[in-house]
Amino acid sequence: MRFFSFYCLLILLSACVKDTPIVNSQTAVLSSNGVYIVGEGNFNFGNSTISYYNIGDQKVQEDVYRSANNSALGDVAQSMVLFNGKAYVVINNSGAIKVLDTATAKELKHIDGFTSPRCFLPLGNGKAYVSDLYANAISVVDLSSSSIVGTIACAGWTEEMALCAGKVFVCNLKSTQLYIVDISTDKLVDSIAIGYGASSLQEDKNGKLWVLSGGDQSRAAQLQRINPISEVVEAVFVFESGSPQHLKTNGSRDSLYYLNNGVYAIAVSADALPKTPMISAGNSIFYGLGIDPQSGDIYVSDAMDYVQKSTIYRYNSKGNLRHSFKSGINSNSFCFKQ
Amino acid sequence: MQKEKNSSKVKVVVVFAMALLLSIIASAQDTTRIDEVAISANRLQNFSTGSKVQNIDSAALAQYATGNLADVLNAESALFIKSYGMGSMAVSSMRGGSAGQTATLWNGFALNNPMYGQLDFSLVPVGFSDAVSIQYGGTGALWGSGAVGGVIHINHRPSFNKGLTIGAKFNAGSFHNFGEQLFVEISKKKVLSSLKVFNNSAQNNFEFYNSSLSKNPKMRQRNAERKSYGLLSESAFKIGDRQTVNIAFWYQFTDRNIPPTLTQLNSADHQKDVSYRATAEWQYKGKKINYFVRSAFFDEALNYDGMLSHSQVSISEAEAKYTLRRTHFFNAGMNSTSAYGMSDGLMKGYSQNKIAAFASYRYQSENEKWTASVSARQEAVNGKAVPFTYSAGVDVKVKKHLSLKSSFSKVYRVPTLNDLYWMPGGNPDLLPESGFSEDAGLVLSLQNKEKVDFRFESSVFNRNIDNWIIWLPGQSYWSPQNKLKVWSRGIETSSKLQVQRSKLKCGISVMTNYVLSTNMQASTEGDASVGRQLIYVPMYSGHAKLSLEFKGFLLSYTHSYTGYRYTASDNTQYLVPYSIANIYCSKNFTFKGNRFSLFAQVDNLFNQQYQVVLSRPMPLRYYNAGLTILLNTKIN
Repeated sequence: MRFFSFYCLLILLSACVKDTPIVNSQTAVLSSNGVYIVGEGNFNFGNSTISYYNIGDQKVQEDVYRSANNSALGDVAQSMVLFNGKAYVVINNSGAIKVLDTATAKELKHIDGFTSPRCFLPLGNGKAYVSDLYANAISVVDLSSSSIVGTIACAGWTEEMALCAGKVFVCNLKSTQLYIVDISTDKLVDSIAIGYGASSLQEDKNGKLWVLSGGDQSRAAQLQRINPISEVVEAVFVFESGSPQHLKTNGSRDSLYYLNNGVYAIAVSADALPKTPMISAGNSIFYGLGIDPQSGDIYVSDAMDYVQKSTIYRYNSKGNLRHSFKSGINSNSFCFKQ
Repeated sequence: MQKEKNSSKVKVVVVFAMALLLSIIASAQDTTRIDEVAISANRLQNFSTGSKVQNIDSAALAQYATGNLADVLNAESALFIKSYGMGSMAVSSMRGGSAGQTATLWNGFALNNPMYGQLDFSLVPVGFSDAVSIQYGGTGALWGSGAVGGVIHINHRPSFNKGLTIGAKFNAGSFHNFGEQLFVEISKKKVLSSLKVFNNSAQNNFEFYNSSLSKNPKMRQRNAERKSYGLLSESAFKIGDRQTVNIAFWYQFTDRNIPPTLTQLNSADHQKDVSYRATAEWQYKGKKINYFVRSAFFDEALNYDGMLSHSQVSISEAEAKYTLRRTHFFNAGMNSTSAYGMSDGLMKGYSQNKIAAFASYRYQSENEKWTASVSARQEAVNGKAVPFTYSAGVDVKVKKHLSLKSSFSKVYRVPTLNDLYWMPGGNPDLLPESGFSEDAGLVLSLQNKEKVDFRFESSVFNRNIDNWIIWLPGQSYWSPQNKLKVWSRGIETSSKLQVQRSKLKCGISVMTNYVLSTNMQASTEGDASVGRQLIYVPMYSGHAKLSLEFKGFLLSYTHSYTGYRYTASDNTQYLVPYSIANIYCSKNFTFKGNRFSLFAQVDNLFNQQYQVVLSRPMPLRYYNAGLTILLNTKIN
């Protein structure tokens, strides 16, 4: 019987361990100088977030969308673009784009009907293009009516796009081509042979287009410099190893940055790829990269085990750590507001 | 690929034809002597000393007869059932383990898929099993890979000399849920053969509140239709006085749509599962020695949005049990399991061949006051030895009403085909997950002239697993790694009181579970999951059941509670607890040996809005009702 009472005691004691989680609540008032950090969350969890990092006081407001709208942002927020005082958030597995007020993160409207949207590119003529993972097409969106008004057939996984010399250049992760779209007719007009698996591209201070292709197991990754007017590849840099991603540029557009198991920087005037990283990744695997166009500060996210909050490292332009903080699960991109 | 497929179908047909032929031969020869055989449970019955075993008999299963195994485990066991929604996939966490760390054995054969390592319990119809036993805690030495958190045994209990029984069951419920089951059994003195067929369809277009949208609007579930049908043929026959042969064949087809999550507008995903499973067993029961030889062939195909995974497993096992002076029991055997998997994700077919030798010894004291057993197992996978596994257990009857038990076991789980060979990312260098599982418990049982029956069982458990496999992202793709060390521990209680007063029988049972399952090792620098509860392992859960029986009437009320479940490994995201109440009532009639039964049930009585899995809505209150007819005639 003594055993029995001992057991009962154990059971009662065990009930004293709290399983109630810690809850942080906050309200969204977004300062004028800060960084939106898009957190993908997990596929099918519906736990995407936007965190806001105030550059001045280094404070983080997590999940500003939920506090402003009292609802969930969606499933797998992929990217975010600031345009005309509004934030366009592409939510991949919800098949939608949410348009937010940049000051309050309040939802103004949303655009539905995409298959698996990835990136948003405003064209300045009242329209925008949206690339897609599975649709084998780019969607044409009318921004005033917030609706899809057309599609541009493009086989494969289309990713980042750039408006350069009046044309739109489209990366495709499932091909060796950089596609060119005529924005007046919304038609695919040409393509340029590049490395396999392009995902990101940047325009430099000289008006040249840089495209980063990640390659695959049999094809090496490449960085190409393209003349957007003549559509000629002017320079090719072949990577010895790795699958580099996230090509970014600084405010003056004279340096390029990318992730390849560490942060690498290359001047647009360089004639060879850097051999050593500017910031070494150590044991972690960097997931997202952003360059503050004003200060040149480098933001890198470490997604840890991918089911917990990411750690964001903020370095100065020389690669010295300034600050680190937590942000939403699988933080993948940075959007600078100034 | 095509050739593989054809050969598998041929094999299935051959096994099935053999089964039929053997049952015809056996029915031709008839003599005397009857005894009950519970097949394939040799090691469970005789060498599970010290571990907690919960038996759910056919009477208890009857309440869930139109449902699936997930419903039974959810309501009757200490397992946490991770259900993705009505009609959707349901896997388990047992004592804080992963889904692959629960082994499910059908007539002694592991059902866990060789590619995924787990079993979807929503694909196991309750009507296809006579008895379900749940063995808690690690028993790696008895059952091999995957018996880490515990083992679920689904068994056929052939019952001879019952005559001809023809049965039918119909049910209809909310959301256009319709089910039909037909059952024919010929049970003679030495031969038994049964055929069960079911057909099921449901729209599952239930209403729910969408907590991901502002103002929590009420919505209707879409793209959740499910259709399923299958057949189970089981035969058992005796050859002479000492030999028994059991044969089973199980075919099942399920086609279901995968509904959108709370943050998706639409979903067009759908999944088809087709399985063929055939088993055969021969038993010889001598005075001192028993032999068992059994063999199985499983063929499973899963088609998700056109992406195909196809696996085949063949298992052969032979064991012998030797009894000396009713106090010493020896058991030894061999198992050979070869699995073949092929999918779009693997790019080509891979096989995994496991061979194992196992042995057990049990000593039972003359006065039957205590019993102790030791077991050992050595397995090799593709010719490479996995760590030697052993276990020991003891049961002691301290007093008339009180017994104590304790056991420990080394446990392991070998990586699945997907873990090893998925393209890209599969890691052929993965080691098996391995560790130790310990258990101690007490059973208090009091009877008062068959009018009051009280049983209390409580267990404390501890388990440490090293090389726990998780998929982590690499530079360009995800890859599984032996990264985590997981420490699981907890306390379970189960209390049951039954009071009988003339024709009224009243029962109360309460189960409580407290499980801490924490990761002890950082998988990356600064990993905030260290020391935190694993995701989807509730710390607190429990259920209570109240039942009243009177002149063939049964009324039961169950209430279950599931506590917080974290959905982020640093425990910063979570799902809120929920309580679900169900009511079930039935009335049985017997007329000239034929049995009739009517039932009605209400699920989620209090309209609880909840999610078991993040962003997967569950239904509010819903209903189900039906009738069963069992016609029986004696035959000679």
